[in-house]
Amino acid sequence: MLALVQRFAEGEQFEVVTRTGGRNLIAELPALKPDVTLLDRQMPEIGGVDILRAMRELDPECQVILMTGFATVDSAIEAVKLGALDYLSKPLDFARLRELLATVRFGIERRQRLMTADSELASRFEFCGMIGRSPAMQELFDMIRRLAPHARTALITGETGTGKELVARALHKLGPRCDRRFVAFNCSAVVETLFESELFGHTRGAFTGAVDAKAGLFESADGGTLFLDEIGELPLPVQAKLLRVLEQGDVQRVGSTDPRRVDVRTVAATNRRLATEVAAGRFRQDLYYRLNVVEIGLEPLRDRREDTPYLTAAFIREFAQRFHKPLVGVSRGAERLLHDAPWPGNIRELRNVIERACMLSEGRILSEREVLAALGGVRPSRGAAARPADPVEEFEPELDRHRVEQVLQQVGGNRSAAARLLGISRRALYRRLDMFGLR
Amino acid sequence: MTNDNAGQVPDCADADDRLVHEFKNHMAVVVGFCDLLLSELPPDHPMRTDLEQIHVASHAAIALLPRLFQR
Repeated sequence: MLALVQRFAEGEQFEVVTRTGGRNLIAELPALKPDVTLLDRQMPEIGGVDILRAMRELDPECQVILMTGFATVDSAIEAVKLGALDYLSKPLDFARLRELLATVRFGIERRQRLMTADSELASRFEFCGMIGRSPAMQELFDMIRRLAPHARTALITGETGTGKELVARALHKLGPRCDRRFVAFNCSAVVETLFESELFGHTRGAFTGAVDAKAGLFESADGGTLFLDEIGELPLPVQAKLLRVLEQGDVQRVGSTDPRRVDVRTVAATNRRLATEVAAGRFRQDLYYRLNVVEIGLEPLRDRREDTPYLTAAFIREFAQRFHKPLVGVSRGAERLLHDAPWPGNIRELRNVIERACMLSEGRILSEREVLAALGGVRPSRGAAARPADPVEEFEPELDRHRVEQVLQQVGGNRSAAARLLGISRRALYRRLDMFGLR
Repeated sequence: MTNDNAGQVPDCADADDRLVHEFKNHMAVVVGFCDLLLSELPPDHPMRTDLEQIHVASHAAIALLPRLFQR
């Protein structure tokens, strides 16, 4: 029987693997990753229906066809209810089997075509490493194109993982300084005492450990662009010095009073609301106005979900190539999961999830199960009640007590509005209120 | 059925079912390869008529099964 089916299926251009033991098959499934399985219902070790159940559990992407010598209407219905693609009686109707195999092949090819289409569109809607078909992204690209030749300072705002550095690089690449240096600096990555020397440089012996004179980032970026990420983290005294550099165009190394001329285009980015920081006295108002001559706001991914398929296709293509995986498509269930996830970490998080899922995947279609595992096993549901581990909490560390109080004040105590403004669910807000004793 | 065999006699219906099932499996292989050959041979091949005979006879044998074990 095995030889018969093997010969037939190979004739239909399928690569065939045959097994006689049911239990071994289940153990081997993850390695074999079949697209379709033909199962005999009556088998010595473990029945075909039990294997069917196990397979639907383990790998819903694999289609299962049951074969039997005794076909009854009831058993056929049972099999299909359990998820079998079809139920064939022996002797096999080869015409029917041919149709079924064609259905399986068609399903895979369709998923492949969809991803190819999405991937091509991703290329078409790509702009300096950013992908977006949504109106918000098209507007963003347009704005960048218009501003890049002229803007001397710019402020980019948006949640973590929305691509602020990519925007800064695009402004640089499309501007008059594209052949000069682009220097990136993350203001949250530096110990407070070293800020000044990092940015403005120091002279020899300026402080303990300063064995040599060192040029600061402003000098390194002279003639080019300096990108200051998380500018909200800059301590106030450093903000004052930064303002001076921006206004006067010269830096003073730590330990020296000699001004050095620099010609630097400064692009800053933040995921905080600087206006609020200014109101709270944590950020200088004059520096804020100096920086936000041009302000570019980036939408969170959840506000432009229509871009998810293109981003997904581009990332799968990238990782499939990198990990040498035969991935050509993504299942409908996986697509839905990716579309509905809250993405508090935005595009960076989406990319990480897909990287993880691709690493784990062995088949040609990225399955719902693989994506769910990569999402940490937490199935997203839009606007539903919070789960024990609300992923938002891990990604928004700046939602401290102070911030929450601030926002509540801003919205006159309206908790729904406050939650919306903070970008978290109402449940998550209530949890914080409890945590901070603000209820 | 004698008393000697009282404890060992299997349920007749089950034994029959198993036999029929096994028989059908074998017949499925016969018919299967026959059909496979028929689909692989060109339409005017001289062996086609022989294969078609095998196909008809096999199906006739399978059709007999329900009547074989009627008591």
